[in-house]
Amino acid sequence: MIFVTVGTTMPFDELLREIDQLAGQGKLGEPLICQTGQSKYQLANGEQFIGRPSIADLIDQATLVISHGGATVIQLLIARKPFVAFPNPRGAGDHQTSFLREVARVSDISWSSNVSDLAQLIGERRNKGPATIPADFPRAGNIIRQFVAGQ
Amino acid sequence: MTKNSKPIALIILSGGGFTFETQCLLREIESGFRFVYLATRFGGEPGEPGIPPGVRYEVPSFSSMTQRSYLRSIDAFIKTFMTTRRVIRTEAIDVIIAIGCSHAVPMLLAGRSTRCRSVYIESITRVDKLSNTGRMIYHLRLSSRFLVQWPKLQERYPASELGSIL
Repeated sequence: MIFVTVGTTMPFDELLREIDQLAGQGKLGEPLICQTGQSKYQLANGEQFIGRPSIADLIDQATLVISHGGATVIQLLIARKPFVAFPNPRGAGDHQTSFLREVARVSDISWSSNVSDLAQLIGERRNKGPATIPADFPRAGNIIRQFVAGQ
Repeated sequence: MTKNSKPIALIILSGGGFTFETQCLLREIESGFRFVYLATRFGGEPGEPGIPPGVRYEVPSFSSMTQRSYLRSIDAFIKTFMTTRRVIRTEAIDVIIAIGCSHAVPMLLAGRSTRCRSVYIESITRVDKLSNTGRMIYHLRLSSRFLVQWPKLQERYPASELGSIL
């Protein structure tokens, strides 16, 4: 199953339209489930739902995830799940593009600002398998523990 | 915090990516704290995987999954502020911890007005610019500690500290 998630705060109809077209052309080869949030697009070739408390089970079941450029990207990296990401240009200050660009400096993720690259990136990610990310920044947990202990 | 007991942290579970980031942090700190939660309807339930048990107080979302409105945001702001003030007192909160979400502003405002210590962590999706929530908290100095998760952002906001949830 291919799972698409576009978050809950902004519509991302163009990404849904693109994946729906690929599904309609028989280019996915597996079922499609989409979390659509505020998007208006109605899928013709897959299941859709607006949102729910946790999508972890769907991520777990999917062979490939297609995601907006939100924190889900980190969830997918930690879960070692193959994924393709597209920044939603409606994000304030286009922060999803900055985020994916920065993640791409430290990880070999597959991403593009152009949803018409979707078919190519799906093929690329299926060949490469999951991407990884190093975790070598100072830990927020340590800072909080020391801060509270120092009262 | 009483002697020999764990400090009590007030955590916000607002849903989506923010709850995921909060779960990453909880995994790091859960052995050293007890938790009290503010949670939106679909923000997450204490005791479910990735969220340690704790008392839960419900607060409204700033937006629904299908729309945003100013009235809804104002309602959520006021109710979150009032709930936080009450919970700080009744649950003897030692520290407020919020990651990224809009609820952080009224929570930290309530924390400041009651002299409760607090930590704000900017979302990992913010690489070179703070979110509106982050900007407000940074410039109004609403939190005791202000963490960002990317070096580029820390360089731009020198009063912040680098601290990642990963």
